[in-house]
Amino acid sequence: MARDRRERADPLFEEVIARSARAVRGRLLVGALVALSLLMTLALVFVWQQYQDSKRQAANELRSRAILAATVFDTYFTGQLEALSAIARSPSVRAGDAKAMSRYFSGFRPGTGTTFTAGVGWIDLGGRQRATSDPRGPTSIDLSGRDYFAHVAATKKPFVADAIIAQTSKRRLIVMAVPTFGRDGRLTGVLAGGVVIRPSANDPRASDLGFTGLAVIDRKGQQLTLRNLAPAANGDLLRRVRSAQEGVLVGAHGLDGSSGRVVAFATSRTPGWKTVLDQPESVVFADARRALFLEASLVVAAAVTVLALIGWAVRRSRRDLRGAQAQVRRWAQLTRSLNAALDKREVATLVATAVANEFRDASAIVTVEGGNGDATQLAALVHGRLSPFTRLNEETAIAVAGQVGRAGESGTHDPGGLTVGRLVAVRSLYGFRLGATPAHAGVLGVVFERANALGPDQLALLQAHADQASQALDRVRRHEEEHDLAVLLQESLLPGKLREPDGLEVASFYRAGALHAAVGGDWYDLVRRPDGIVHLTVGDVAGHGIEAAVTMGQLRNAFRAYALEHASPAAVVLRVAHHAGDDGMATMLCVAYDPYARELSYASAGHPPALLLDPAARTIGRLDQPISGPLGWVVPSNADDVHVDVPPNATLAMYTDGLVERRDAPLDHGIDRLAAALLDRLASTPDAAVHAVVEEMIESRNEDDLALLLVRLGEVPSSLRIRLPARPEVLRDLRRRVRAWLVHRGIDEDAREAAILAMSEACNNAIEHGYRESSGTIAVRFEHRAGMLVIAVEDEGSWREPQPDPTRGRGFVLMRHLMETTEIVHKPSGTEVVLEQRLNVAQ
Amino acid sequence: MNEAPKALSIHIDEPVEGSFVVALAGELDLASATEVSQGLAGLPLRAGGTVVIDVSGLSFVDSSGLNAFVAGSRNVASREASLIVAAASDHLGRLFDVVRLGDSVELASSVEEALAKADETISDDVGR
Repeated sequence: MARDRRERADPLFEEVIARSARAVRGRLLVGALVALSLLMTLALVFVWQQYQDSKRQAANELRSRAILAATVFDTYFTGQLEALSAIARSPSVRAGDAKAMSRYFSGFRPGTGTTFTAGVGWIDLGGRQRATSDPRGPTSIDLSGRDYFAHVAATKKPFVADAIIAQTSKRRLIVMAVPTFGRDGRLTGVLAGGVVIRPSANDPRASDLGFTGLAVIDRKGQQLTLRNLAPAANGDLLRRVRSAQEGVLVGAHGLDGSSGRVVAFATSRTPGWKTVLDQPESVVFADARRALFLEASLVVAAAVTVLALIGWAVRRSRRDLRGAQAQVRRWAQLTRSLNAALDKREVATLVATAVANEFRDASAIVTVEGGNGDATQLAALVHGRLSPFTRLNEETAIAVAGQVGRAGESGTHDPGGLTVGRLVAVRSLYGFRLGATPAHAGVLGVVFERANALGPDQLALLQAHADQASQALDRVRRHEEEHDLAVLLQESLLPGKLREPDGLEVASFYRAGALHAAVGGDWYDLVRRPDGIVHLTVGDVAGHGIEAAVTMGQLRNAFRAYALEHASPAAVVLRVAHHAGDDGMATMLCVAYDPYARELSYASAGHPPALLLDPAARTIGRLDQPISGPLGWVVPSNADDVHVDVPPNATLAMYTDGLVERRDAPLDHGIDRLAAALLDRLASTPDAAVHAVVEEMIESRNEDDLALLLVRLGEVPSSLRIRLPARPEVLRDLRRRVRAWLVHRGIDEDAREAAILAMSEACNNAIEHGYRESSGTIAVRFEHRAGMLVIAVEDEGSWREPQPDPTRGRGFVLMRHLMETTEIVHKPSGTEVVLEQRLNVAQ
Repeated sequence: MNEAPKALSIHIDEPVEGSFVVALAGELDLASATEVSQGLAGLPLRAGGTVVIDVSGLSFVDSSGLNAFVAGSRNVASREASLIVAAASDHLGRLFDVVRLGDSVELASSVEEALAKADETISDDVGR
């Protein structure tokens, strides 16, 4: 029972360890992950803000460039207007001399200089061109409707006109105009100068300076950088740009409508135009994004590193847990194995192997019995391998035992000059005493090749193994002692070789249960009554051990006593039942067999049915009508025997359930197997059959004890011996039995009846004369051999010569008439009447 | 061991007043012989009466049984009646011859013959 409890407890313990370890690990893991994600979030927020700052900075930078560009334009146009004003102050212009002006202006012919590349011309207040740098002379076109003319004439201030496309050359022109004053200071006209816009706005030199995407938009919204001066496609943007002095737009649509642009703009004061830098975000924010990518990569790399560290720690803790669980498992396994161990060698081997598993670098582990000097090796492992009983190891074992024995206590010892196999020097020796009693002291020794091999924890583990071994050894020893005692008791209680009565061949088999199951309460026995009837019995007391053996002995003794007293098996069983007690359950079968009349009857109290084999018919009958359940339950106060016909040469098999019982099959199945096994051995003698049958029936390690009784009920014997109480009432049954015997012996009716009457007369005389009224016995003997029938009737009383009494003499007359010879033999013990008759041929 | 029916059964009939037919069946031996002696002694006999013992039902008779017949015959005679043992089987007849039972007890081959014999005896008495 205790063993079962522990088997259940161990996995639980293991589970508890695993659960708590998992819980701790889980909490640590969650903490680490939460901390990591917080740090990650902070770092990423920081990185993101950096990125946003960088973007802002980049956008501002772009705005600065736009302002710079606007300022450049401002300066340019201011310079151009200054130049034009200087021309307007020249004497020819002041004088209003058209011819002189034309000569002067010819210097500004298109394509010859860098200023006023489109030429210079003077217009009078009437709007007519009076002088021009054009060699073809002034044009006749009325210029009074031109906005620059109108503006300057009205305001008398310089003016830069929006761009136009020349009608003839299709060139983009920008016209600037200043007022001209006469010597008297009055407005005389308007001096206009034009510049040609170069074909491409996206000068590679401008790109290098970060002015990619430069666009100039005039007051009308014309985009000067475009060849056709078309207004920007993106009307929204155009409006915004024109409505503000300066600014930068991020994530806007560009001038041409494409998305993802950064647009910076500023105003040139002099012409009042807008300078726009329209660049894709990818270009503007390239540095910021690169920085963002780098920093985020760093953060992620750090996180991955931390995660890897956590994972490693978790795996490490799992491995530690598995190691601890495996150790608990090994320990539980050791405990179980030790509990099941049957002898001290097994215990020693188990412990040595367990120690070798825990301490893999141990050079040798030995377990010995006995102390200093007279030690016997029980188990030894050298470098983890079991090497039983080699001379070398035995020497080591004894040496270890000697060292430990001298020290007298468990723990660390001085290895002295100890070697393992004479080659390996021992540097550490640990020895532990085994067994509680000094008489059975033993030693567990563990040796290492390195010094100070074990720490305190490992030493404690080793001590635990030694303690476990000690307990197991004590238990095995107690068990062995108890088992030996019980076996001894049982052997003393069971009959040895049964004496075979005439007409029966008997073979018995008994086996106590396996060692650890202790002895059982099975019994069998045979009693030949003086009247020639043979009582056979098998029985089974529930339980094992000494108690069961004692009960068995009591029941068997009760059987022997009642068998002599009662010829009826039912009477015997009912009386034995009184000795079974109320608690001790037992089953019992009693069979009575008359070997002379070949009559069989039985009574069973809850016992498995005996089998009766008919060898001629090859059939098997079951004696399966019990008079009651097991003894100790309710047993009826009286019951009848069950009578069974006995076929010639029948065999009777009586057994206990240990023979037929199997855990995985019903009892009936086992009985059928037994029947088949018996049928296979019809020709064998009971002695030969009994062992073969047991061998066939029993599994290798059956735990129950078992008994088998095989009885061959052969021919009736040639001699008959019956002793009966010397009472008249017994004679009738005696005649019936003798008659049946004579019939079985093949003796014809005349001779049979004559013999029976002669025997009756002799018995009458013995009863009447031998004892008178006192009680005693008469012994009747028949011998049938060599055609002769000899009858002898013997009493123990004092014989008196027959009196000449007419009523008493007829017995002898009859005897003498019926038999050939009648002889009266006087013995010290009594008187014997011997009658002889020669039989007819073939009898 | 087998329980046999009762060893001996005794059936008493009185066909004529004062005359009895005692039918015995079973085994007549040392144990049962006294039953016969006691039975005969207990019959309410009159002088001149007859007792016929029908032994045809007996399967076994030993010397105790024979002695019982002889003793019974004497007992009956002492009461001035007569006893006849009738209907013995061949086997039993031979047994009677061996011990010369006829010397002490009157025998008849059948119950009818015995009863007829008894009538003759009575007639003799009447005729005397």
